[in-house]
Amino acid sequence: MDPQLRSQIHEAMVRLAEGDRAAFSFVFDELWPRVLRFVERALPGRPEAEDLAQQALLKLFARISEFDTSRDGVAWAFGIVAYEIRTLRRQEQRRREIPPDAAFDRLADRAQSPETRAIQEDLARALAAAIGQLSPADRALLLGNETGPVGLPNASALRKRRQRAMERLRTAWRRLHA
Amino acid sequence: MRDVTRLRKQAKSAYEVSRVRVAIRAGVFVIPLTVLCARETGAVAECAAIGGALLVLAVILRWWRREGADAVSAGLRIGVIPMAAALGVCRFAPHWPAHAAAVVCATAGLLAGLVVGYAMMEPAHRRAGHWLAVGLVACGTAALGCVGLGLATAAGGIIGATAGTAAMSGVRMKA
Repeated sequence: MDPQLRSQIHEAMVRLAEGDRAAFSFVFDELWPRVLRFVERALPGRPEAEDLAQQALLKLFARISEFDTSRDGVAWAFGIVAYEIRTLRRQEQRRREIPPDAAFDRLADRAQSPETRAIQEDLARALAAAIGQLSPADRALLLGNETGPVGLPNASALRKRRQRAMERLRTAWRRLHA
Repeated sequence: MRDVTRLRKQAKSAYEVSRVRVAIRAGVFVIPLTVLCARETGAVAECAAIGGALLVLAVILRWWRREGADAVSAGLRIGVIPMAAALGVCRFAPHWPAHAAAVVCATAGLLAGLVVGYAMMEPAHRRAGHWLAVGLVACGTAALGCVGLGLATAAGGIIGATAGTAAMSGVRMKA
């Protein structure tokens, strides 16, 4: 998201939280399509994705009066949406619901539930996208090249380089998926 | 796909309902104060009327703006001091003449308006409307306790709280 737009949405959310009803339309018009896209990406091809997006949006507006305006409004909003998605997945895991097309393909593999596999595949794709944002040197350090690109002799220096590479990975993750 | 217009209305409704739900929490303070005053003073009908009006005012202020919640909080803190002074007179000096009780309430209200108003107000709260809201809630709270000693005492508490809050608002708005 464009940082300026993100800042505008945050400002509008702050005004709405403080009681300025004129900010409602802007917040709704900017958040609704983004929330819907976010949920559809998290639940691809699922018919309940739009219902969940609407439910998450209504909860967001029900809680915005108590929103801590010192925090980032957009991150707060998508935190609520992500929570709704996780809740749905946990409920499905408890009920052991399996999408019909996955059931026949996975019957032979009893080691993991289809839900767990789907979650792991999503996470792997998201992680690959974040790692793709790093420099070749950082990728080599994180993916198991023991000495790094220039054969660092000092173990503590290597450890520090890895720590910094992990920080950059976290930053890339937040940028892509927050 | 559901109609976005309908979703917009539902979102607006969810927003307003949540604001009302948050605003109603003012009752957590106002109702016990009203019950306490009715018990201590014996003026049940008067306390119920004033407490009811104070509750409605507090809910409306809190529902309309988040700044209204600050005004209600400040007003309650200011008004509770003359209210407590009046309840003290009711309990420990019930035979005091009415004008003495009115002076106690007025003095307590004035001091409360000055001291608590100064301590609580942030520089951002400089609009006259904010101070008016603070003053109204303070007067209502002061009257809640003082009414048990008679209308003159209630008036004394209101005048004191108003004067203290007005004086402090003048200082703050010029600062």
